[in-house]
Amino acid sequence: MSPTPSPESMLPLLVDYIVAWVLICTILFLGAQRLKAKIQFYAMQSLGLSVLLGAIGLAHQNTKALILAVVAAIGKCIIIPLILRYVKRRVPMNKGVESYVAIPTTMLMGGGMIMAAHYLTNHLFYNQSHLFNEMLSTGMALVFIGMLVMMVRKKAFTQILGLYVVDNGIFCLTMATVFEMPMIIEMGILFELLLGVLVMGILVQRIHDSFQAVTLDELEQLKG
Amino acid sequence: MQFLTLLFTLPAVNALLGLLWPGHRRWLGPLQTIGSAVLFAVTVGLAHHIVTVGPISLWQGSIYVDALSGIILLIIGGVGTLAALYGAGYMIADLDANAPTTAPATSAESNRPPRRLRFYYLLFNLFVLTMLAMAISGNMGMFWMAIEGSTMFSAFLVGYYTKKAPLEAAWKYVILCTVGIAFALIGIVLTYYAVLKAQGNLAQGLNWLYLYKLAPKLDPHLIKVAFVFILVGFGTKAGLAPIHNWLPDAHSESPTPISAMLSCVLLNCALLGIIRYVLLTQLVIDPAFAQHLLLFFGLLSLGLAVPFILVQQNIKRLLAYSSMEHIGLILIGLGLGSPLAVLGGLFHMVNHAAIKALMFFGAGNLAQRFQSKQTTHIQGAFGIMPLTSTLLLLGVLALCGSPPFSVFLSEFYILQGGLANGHWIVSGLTLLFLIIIFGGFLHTYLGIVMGTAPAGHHDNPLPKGETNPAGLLAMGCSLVLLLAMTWWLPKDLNSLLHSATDFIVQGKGLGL
Repeated sequence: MSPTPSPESMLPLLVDYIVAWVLICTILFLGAQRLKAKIQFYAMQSLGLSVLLGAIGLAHQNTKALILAVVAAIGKCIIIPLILRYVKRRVPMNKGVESYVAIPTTMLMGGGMIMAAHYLTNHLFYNQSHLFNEMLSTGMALVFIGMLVMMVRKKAFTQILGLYVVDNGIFCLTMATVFEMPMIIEMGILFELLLGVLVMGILVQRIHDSFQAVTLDELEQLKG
Repeated sequence: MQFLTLLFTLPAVNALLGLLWPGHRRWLGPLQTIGSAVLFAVTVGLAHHIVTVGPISLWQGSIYVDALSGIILLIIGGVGTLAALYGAGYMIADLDANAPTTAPATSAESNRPPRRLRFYYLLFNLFVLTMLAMAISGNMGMFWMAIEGSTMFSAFLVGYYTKKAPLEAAWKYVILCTVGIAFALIGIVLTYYAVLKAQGNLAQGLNWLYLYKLAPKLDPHLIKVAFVFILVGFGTKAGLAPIHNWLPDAHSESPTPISAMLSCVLLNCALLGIIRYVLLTQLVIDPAFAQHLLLFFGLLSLGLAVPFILVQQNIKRLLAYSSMEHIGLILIGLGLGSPLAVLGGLFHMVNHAAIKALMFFGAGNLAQRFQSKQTTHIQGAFGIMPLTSTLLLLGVLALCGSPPFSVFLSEFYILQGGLANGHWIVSGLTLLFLIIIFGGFLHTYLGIVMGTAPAGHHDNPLPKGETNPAGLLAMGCSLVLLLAMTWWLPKDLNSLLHSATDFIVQGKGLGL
């Protein structure tokens, strides 16, 4: 006879699955050929992280975390992708992803970064709990991969996505270390993200209007 | 409290006024100047309050206004007023010059402020508002939000003329600063983690005052790592050397009043975050760690600025690199750590704000008249704009630290403080860089003022005379301020500087 599992004991397994989901979304994000797919994978990755926050909040009966998870899900999975898609539609650019490094190579690099992050956390924080290590390594991997996207992709638009992956990474790091910051700060960060996507969206549009292009090769007039 | 309420309602009122002003567009500039001047008066009152009554701490220290914030507030108010005054004479002419060629509006309509001008004043005041929030926030998280907000609001001001170069500058500015700020956020999370591990009060865990009190219990390794993240993060916004790439672009491409605001105010506000965190690291670990990092980045910024200043041909980029130089100098002052050097560094913040405003305003006047920012085109300005040229030449002397202007005093304090502490190499290098920069600036500006214009560039000889009397008044004010701070440093400012120095060097006033 097996006792019904308590929510606490279910948690590690659930976290395993969600973290795997987030990482798979990230690799697919790197591999996506089209901007629309990239936005979708970003939304799915954010959904995974929000569910993670909600699940841990539920297991610990932490209402604040639950509220935050809902708000984060609405902001990151619905509003930000919607704005990004709106900008994408307004700016008539070709829909493919242009990159300085071939897409399969970046996928491999992303995989390598996930492994490196895992290795690093296991060696730096060997005496910490499994959950801590798992979430910390995921967060670090997301930060690295977001930076990678910002560096190798040619479009200004993709840089925004890279930036938001970095931000998801920090979200995950926060969950791993302190679990949650004070409510007002978390809300403020989300608000800044929304403001940021608006500002950058308008800028991309304006850049497109005056350059007739949105690749970063064009943005190299100012030097010295 | 009523000071703080005023501090936040005034820019909001100004912003709404800019957005909704129904009258003639000529009156909008002066109105904004008056609004900014009232704000300046409030900051002066607040500074006086800090000196006489003491620091203000509200909501368990979430809002904390001490001597250090007082200095920054004075800079925001002062430069904000000067920039509004300058903008009153500059923006309409500049808008007309840069306007996309559309059908001319009817006469009744053309007298109202155009949408772009309303937009400008709205964003300008929101920008000021976020910087005020940075100055008074007693909480790292709130500081972070304010600094990120300032990037967002000023991005459109940098890319105000929707042409290629300004948009490129705005894009670089937003992306680099946001990534930098993301790093700072990691630093903040790590700090909060240290508080969690020390079993501190989490609700107040990010308040500076609480962190200072908790300092002995915090994990030194975590704070060390966090400090590096914070330094890189806020340092991006302050324009520190290896991550300064946005700075020359943004400063040169934005409208001149905004260049002045970015260079004189925003950089100082970002430094405020670094200074507060340096104090925390000094309380947790050996002060030498933070000081050496500050010295390294300070010298790097100063040293890297030298070659760019020597070869620079764009008058506003030249000033942007000079900002980088002066930020480096301020960091060196703070990093040297002796009371005199720290005092010099803080005093230099104020001086740099005053002088750089003058320099940008002068450069803006010249660029407007010569319709170029290239120093090879702007030559022989004395014959065309004698007042601007005279003020600029005096300004160059002040900027490079020659007496009797107060920049000389602060630079002297920094060097003297370094030498007295036995930092011969740092002081020697600083002096060497400053001398080379002096030479470079004098060479460029003597050409601008006295040189002869290359034949054939201008089809017609340029009309003589000044274009922007309000701007000249603003420039004159900065010069008078610089002279006044040498001999008659206002009492309140003096005690603010001294108590901020005590605060940074000894953690005095914390009740430790």
